[in-house]
Amino acid sequence: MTEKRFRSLLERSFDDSLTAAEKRRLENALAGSETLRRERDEWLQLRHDLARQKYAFKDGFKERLMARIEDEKKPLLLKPEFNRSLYSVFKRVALTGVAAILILLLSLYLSGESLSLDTVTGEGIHSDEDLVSILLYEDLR
Amino acid sequence: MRDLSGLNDLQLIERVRSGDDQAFGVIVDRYEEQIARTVIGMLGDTDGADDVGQETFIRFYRSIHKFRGDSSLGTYLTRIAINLSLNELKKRSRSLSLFYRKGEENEMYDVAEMKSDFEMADTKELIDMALQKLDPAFRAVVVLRMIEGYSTKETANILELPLGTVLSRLARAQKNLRDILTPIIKLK
Repeated sequence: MTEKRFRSLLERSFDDSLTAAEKRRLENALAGSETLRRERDEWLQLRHDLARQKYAFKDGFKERLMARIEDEKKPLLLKPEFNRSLYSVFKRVALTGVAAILILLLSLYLSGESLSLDTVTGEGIHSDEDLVSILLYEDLR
Repeated sequence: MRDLSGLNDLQLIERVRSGDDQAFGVIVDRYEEQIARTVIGMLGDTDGADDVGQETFIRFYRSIHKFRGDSSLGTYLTRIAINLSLNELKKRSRSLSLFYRKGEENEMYDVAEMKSDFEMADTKELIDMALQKLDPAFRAVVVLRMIEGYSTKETANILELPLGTVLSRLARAQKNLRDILTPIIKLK
């Protein structure tokens, strides 16, 4: 019997999933070889040691988990971190907008030396004459 | 507080689906140790293991409506835990490879270099250390089969591998564990 075959039979014997013929083959192999018996004993010892290992998460695992579950259930808008990031994004957009408006007003003031409503809305920059010349230009094309 | 510990898994799941978080707490009580064995067996006793354990239950909570009961709840949770652990190991090896050239990672875990640690360790720690030296693919098989006590067929099912692959990985893992442990045990 090959080593691979032996190990496969040995492993399946722990599940009680060998046929009668396979069981007999394994028993014969074990009876005829001291090396295989030693290997089986080592494997059994290791299985035993591994099965006895005790593992546990850190203290308070369940409490931390349940707090996260509670957090999962909160609507997005009620989550403090979401509100904080929304506020910070809004603040940036708002500040950029205010800065753009100020720059626009300043440039209007510098070009027209006035901040009247007409200047801001662009009224009065073009006279009727300008409109006529534009129309004439369009006709000439 | 109501006593829900007498309910079976499916009854608890039904309660969680209808918004009863206390029932989810009972599920956590019931499976925390099993998931700890899988995750710590795979990752070692690290902070990352705790995070993966939490994430296992959170993932289950989010997808609880998808659980049909084809496999037992323990197996379902173990499958999530093992996949998350394998992902975590991939992530770790990616971040290690940023700092070490190929081949150096293995040098870091050279058994000879760890001998002094082994000398200090008790049997439990020794086995843990040896387990962490195994390739993750072999480690997953050992954890499910030998720590969790799943049959070879169940192990194959959880890892979605052919039975033959599980058997050969177990045989290789046994040989590797023996190679790692024998010189150290002799040393002790």
